[in-house]
Amino acid sequence: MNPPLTPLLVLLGLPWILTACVPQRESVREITFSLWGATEQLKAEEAIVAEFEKQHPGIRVRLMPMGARYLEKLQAMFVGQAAPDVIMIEISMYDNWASRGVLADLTEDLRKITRDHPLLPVPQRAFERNGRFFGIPINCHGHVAYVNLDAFRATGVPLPDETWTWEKLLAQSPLLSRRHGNSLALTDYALLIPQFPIFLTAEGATLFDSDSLPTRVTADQPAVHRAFDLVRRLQASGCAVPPEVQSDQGDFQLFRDGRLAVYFAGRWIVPELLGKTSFAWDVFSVPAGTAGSVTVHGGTVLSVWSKSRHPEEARAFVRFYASQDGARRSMLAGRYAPVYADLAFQPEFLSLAPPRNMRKFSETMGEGRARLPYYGPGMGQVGDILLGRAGQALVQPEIPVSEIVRGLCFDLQRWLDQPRSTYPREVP
Amino acid sequence: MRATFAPRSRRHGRTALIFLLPNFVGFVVFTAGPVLVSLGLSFTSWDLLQPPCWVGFDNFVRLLGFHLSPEGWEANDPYFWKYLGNTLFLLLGLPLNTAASLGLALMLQDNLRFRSAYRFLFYLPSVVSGVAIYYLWRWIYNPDYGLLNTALAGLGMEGPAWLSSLSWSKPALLLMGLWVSAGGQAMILYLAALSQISPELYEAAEIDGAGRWEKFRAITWPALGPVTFFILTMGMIGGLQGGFEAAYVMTGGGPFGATTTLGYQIYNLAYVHFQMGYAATLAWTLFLLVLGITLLQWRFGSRQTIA
Repeated sequence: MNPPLTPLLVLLGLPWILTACVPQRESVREITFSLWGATEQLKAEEAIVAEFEKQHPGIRVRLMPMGARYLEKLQAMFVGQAAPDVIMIEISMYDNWASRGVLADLTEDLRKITRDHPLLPVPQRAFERNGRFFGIPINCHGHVAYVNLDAFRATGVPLPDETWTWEKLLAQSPLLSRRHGNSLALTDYALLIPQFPIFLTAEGATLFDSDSLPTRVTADQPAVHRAFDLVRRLQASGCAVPPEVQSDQGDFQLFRDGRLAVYFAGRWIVPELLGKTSFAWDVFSVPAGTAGSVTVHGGTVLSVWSKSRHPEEARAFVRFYASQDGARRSMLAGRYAPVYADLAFQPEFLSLAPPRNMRKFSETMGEGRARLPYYGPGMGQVGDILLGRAGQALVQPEIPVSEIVRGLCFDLQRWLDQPRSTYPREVP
Repeated sequence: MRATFAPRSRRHGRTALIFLLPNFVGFVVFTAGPVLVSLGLSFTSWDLLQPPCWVGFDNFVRLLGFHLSPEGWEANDPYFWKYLGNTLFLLLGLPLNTAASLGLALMLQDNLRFRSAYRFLFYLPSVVSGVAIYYLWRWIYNPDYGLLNTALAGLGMEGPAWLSSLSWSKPALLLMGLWVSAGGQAMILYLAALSQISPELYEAAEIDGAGRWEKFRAITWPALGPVTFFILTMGMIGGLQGGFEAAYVMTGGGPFGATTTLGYQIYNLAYVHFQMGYAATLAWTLFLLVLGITLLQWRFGSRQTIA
């Protein structure tokens, strides 16, 4: 009763024979692209991806939106050798990953797309390491001052101009704050104290002997003392949002809801304000300090995983996304400002009001208009140290500024002394 | 007889081993293995992306050592001592919680009307997700429009900035912990233990003229000794490792590290700053601390309990 062998073999082989007869589809390569962003932002990304796929029929891009804990998830993916091919990276982690060899060198790709369209100085400086780029900048503008125009007009406070300084804002604050007792004021608070590095840049302070290859802490200097002192005086005025209110109610919501006269941020909050405010608003340059109106900037790049299985396809997508054409699409989506000189000052961008002063976003990318205290591996940790000491300056007003600065120097030196196996000194 | 039963018991042993094997493998792979690996990691510097680099006892020296500076002896890592202080401060909640649990259990063992409803209400915080509770308390503590400060304002008092004040943030977490824990496991254990005390003992005491306090001191408290010892030991172990959720959800460890505990710092070092080696060093130091305190508790606490 042995089963007949030949029919059985034919039956088993039938699927292979049938699939062999089906005409082969053109092979499509899929690359993955990790990013963050709100729903509207993702819609804009999907449109860019759709356009890319239309122009490159052999490549499919799978979006991998990751919301919370983006960095931790990506780090785990790198460790598990399962990272996305194209990665949206924020500047605070750029050097950490570039220095550890997980990002491909995209210098040549950048050259191709910027041959006729140079980058603005700030994006160039923010991501260039020893003449090389491990990501192509797609957004890198600085913080500006969002101003509630109605609040200024109602209290007779002149609108910010070229002579606006932190000291002037401090003097104007009581008029703009209902909490401080001015019943005419439309807003509860004059301002929300921005992140501490903005005071360092305004005062022209440096933390290290070099902002990219530090060997020595130089933070014990008058400019750093002035920066801490200024933050304290703003807080002590009683016109700034107390930290606890800030953390519980969110930042831009306070401005959107008409409780703040001045708020500092980049263009990314504009979509959150459009059609949601009951007052007129506009943007202005940040107030000037001793070093002038110098602000801080964020920064986002698109990078390619160095172990991507489809590096050429990934590079092609990055070039498309970061090109002039891609930048135009991103800027129309409402959160980014183009990093190209010719695009950032074109009417097409400048007329995307509100805000009326769109030019202010572009200006922050000009030479010397925005910077960070440090560019290199461990940027996030340096930021945390600054945040901690600024917090201490606010919650412990009895401690003299000199003591706070001494603590800051100790923390920075301790960070600098860490084993270099944990923190490579520079991007190789 | 031994010769007859030996193969059978060996067979039983083998069967038992087969049934135990999945659990044992899981334990080795997911618990014992990582624990041993973390011990090895504590002697390395490792950022996950590059191979671990052997640093010997450097991490331990960096964590626990001191150095001489112009101002005198200074800790190599002053934040470790600060966060250890925070962790120990938050442990002050343990006796408070235990006393509150005992008080509730004593009240609820009586034949109150709606006793079951009370038990349910008091136990409720224990079954609600921690994150939900912490968010609720964040709103309660909001200085601008929070429930607590609104109530205080009604009494003519100005409430502090609970979670952002250096002096109030830790007590605020203690108070919240009391609300969460008082009606929890400890109360259930006390209720169970109270139900085991023989009523005859109380009757005899009453005949001898003992009042409520004497009965509690001479009968209830000694009878609850083993349960109290258990609650304190487990609470100590949990407390030394705790504080993560509250810090993560409510305060981010602030203001200026005032609510950062060792457990939260381990998370920060490992998963925010990717310093796995140093985080492992801190984790093992914490383990040794917990072990030491628990052994001391056993050495002295259990003797007193038996006595």
